[in-house]
Amino acid sequence: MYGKHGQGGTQIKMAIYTIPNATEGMDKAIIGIATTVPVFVPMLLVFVWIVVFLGGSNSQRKRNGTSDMPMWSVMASLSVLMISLVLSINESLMQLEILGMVIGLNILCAIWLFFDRKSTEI
Amino acid sequence: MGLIRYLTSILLISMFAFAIISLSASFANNNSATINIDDDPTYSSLKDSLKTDTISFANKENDSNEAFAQIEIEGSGQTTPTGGQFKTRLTTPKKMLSSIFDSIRLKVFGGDSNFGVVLTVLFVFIVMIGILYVWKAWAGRNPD
Repeated sequence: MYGKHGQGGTQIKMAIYTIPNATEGMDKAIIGIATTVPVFVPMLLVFVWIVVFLGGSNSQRKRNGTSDMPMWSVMASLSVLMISLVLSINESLMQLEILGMVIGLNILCAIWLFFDRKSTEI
Repeated sequence: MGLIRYLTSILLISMFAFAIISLSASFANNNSATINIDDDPTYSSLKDSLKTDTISFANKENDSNEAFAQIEIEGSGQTTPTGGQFKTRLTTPKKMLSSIFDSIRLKVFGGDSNFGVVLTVLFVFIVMIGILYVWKAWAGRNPD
């Protein structure tokens, strides 16, 4: 907290970007971060996708012995889509390209899910 | 790997894609979002194309459903020529259920025509699977 020189010492800390002013509200702070670091929102979405996918499939494997990975990939993609839709209200937080990728990911996971179902008689 | 499995997979993938794009576009329109997936020409044309294809699928299924009610096969030891005892159960309630689906669409989805297409095609698909199974039970073989 006081730096390597101890209390009374001096330490210069340089931020790699302008620290957002949190007193204006959390939304302004998040917009400030996303504006300064454009990869923030995509990384957040990737994080959510991985957490839901790995968390869900591992939890199911613990309970049932097997995990339905295609289903959890769709669940993770839908979670990410819901977050993306909310973020898309503000232009600073979401780009059309990112939203397009999220929808493409949803469709891709759905293809995996629906072709993974068991066969029927006819 | 049968006919129903392929049909189910392809149709549900199409419906899923159509529903996801429609949901995103509706969300953006309803909330005045600055980012609207309808502004993306690729997804916009995909949605229009899927809508046309699914409506075409529903119409063709209606035609084949009517044709199914009319067909006769040659009788043998195990089959009856008309198959009326099977066919009545599918063709008549279909019209009753259509009005129920319309009401659900109005109340749950607010009458959005895009979700109407999804519900209609899913319902038509369920009926089509029923017809395939009835054909198998009646004729004693898989559909040609």
